[in-house]
Amino acid sequence: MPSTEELVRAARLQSVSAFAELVRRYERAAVVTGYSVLGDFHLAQDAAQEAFVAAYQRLGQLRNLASFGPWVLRITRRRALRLLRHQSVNGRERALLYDADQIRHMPYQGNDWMEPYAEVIQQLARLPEHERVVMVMHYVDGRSAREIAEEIGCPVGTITKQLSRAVERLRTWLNGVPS
Amino acid sequence: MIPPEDIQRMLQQMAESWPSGESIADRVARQLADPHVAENGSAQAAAQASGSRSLSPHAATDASSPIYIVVRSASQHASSAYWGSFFQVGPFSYLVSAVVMCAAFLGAWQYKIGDRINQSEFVRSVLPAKSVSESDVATVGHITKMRDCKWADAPLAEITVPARRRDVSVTAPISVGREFILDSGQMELTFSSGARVILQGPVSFQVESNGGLLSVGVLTGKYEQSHKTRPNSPTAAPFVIRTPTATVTDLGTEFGVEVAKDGRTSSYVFSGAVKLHALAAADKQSDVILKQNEGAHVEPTGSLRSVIRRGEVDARRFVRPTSRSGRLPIAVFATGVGASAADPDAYWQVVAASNDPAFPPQPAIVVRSRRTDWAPASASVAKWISWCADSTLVVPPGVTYTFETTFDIDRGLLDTAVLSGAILCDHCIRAIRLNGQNMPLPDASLVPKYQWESVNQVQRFSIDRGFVRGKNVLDIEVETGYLSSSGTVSSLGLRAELEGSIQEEP
Repeated sequence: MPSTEELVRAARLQSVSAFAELVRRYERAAVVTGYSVLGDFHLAQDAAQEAFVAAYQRLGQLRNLASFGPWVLRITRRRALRLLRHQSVNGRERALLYDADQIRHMPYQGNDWMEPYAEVIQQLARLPEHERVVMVMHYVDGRSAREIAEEIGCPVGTITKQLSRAVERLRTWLNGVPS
Repeated sequence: MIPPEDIQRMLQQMAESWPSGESIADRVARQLADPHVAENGSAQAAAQASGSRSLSPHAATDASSPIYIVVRSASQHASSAYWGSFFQVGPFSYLVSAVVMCAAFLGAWQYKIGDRINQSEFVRSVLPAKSVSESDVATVGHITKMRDCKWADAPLAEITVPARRRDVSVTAPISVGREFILDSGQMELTFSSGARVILQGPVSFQVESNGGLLSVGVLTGKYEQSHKTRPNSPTAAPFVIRTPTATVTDLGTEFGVEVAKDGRTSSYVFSGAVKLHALAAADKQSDVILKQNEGAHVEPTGSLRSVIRRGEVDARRFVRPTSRSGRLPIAVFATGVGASAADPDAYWQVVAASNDPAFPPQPAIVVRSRRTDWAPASASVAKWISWCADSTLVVPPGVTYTFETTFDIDRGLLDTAVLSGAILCDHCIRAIRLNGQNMPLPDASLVPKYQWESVNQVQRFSIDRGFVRGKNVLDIEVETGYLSSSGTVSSLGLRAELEGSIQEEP
């Protein structure tokens, strides 16, 4: 399997198949990152899509090619935050047009498959960025600590420590213990 | 209480229950298919360079730095239409059409006169006929020479040029997408447009419609004239060499390109000019025009060092194509080429002074302030050099300084080598030596009657013997004159234009 660095290098040379592979490799992590901010699957998909397009347009700015994953997840989070602000503005505008009941009974968004996990995902947003990135890459994308370490460029031990620390934080927060 | 195991299990269950359906990859592909979106992308830079969008399944020769990969599984084909449509807009479709038409024409032509094409048996085995069903087959040129080629990729690994024939002239067609990965040896490709490329192993090169993708290694390209004045060019497109970090576009020239394993691209221009373009983000893209005897590097980050520094690119790395007469140029350099005033000369040294037995060899320096009676230097041909930038009036009179340059001869018939030069100096030439042997001096090289005779009148010499295989050393001894009224200081300068060639071995 080609490494992320190889794929990014090829994508910078206009290899569409290489960039497609990069998107497939990180799309779930990006959607979860977006969901942790937005709490909506479709909006999270939008944020992820925007992030990948932005990443494609700025591939030349990426200095450490192996760190494409963390880089695109950071872009996703920024896009998601921007979308959230945008949604907040739209929400206020909608509130002027519709009453609360109408909003409550707006068409079903089809997000229910993620609802059981919504709480833990939204707690992900509270994690420090470096811990959130490794959590998503490890548990959602199924990458080993070694793979993540190679991509981010740090020792494997650092990744495992970050993972256990992040899980402990999530456990504390989900059990209602104040941070 | 939620134990940590449950949190981990929850996240893993979510990943497993991820819904099938339209993926983000499909959505991104559709968005990028919009040219208004794509035009700001990294594809913009690459789109400027003509060529195939398919990348080789081969990695670069070094396993630690494989660069180009095509990853296609059955599950990925669903979205391939989107990715494909991205490149079916704009001039790319016209280019593909032109290549297909060119292929049809060349195919018919080759079928008709195929019997006359002289392909040796091993060449036919090296280049097996491709399946007609392959849509990307388009003959865009031929392999015209091979020398000690050792293939690195598995399908061709067992093919080598027979030991009894070091150089082999061949005429075997090459098509778009063909990749050549050489462990060692040299191969000359001649494109239908007239461009010639010499690949020097170890190298990885993929053929494109008029140029190619140099993943790693060294090549020399030669185009006789600018693409703007090439009426018969089948693609009417410039000749472009792409690398992982840059594109080199010929502007009617002879040039060399080297790609290191980390993607660093170096380019040097022997004659004419090229445009070196750094592949980088849209707001950081930069171009530089390199002219004769200029070189530059593009770092893997995409930052372009456009400052031309002498010696930054060693021109001797590049094997130069044979001229039409069958003579190979000898890589020998005039004084001061590619260097600015007060810079050290990359190719010339001052190695001895007659008044100082312990004189340490040191790089000659391009003179900063030329004496008014010295003939002006041509920036692109030769410049005045001395032993220091401002030494024109501070060297002792009556002292002989030895300027030295070296050049390599590793091919060709030694007894056919010729080196000719045109020299201006201050004050006079005392000796010209090749590999320690004294050579005939120009007529006016002895002490000139008038000072201006040596600094304004070109003295020509020619050497046709004394060459050796490998490193050759050329020494020119220049004696300072008695210039000042006090007779205590003088000036020292040399401006030499050199040209050499050797007959190619049969």
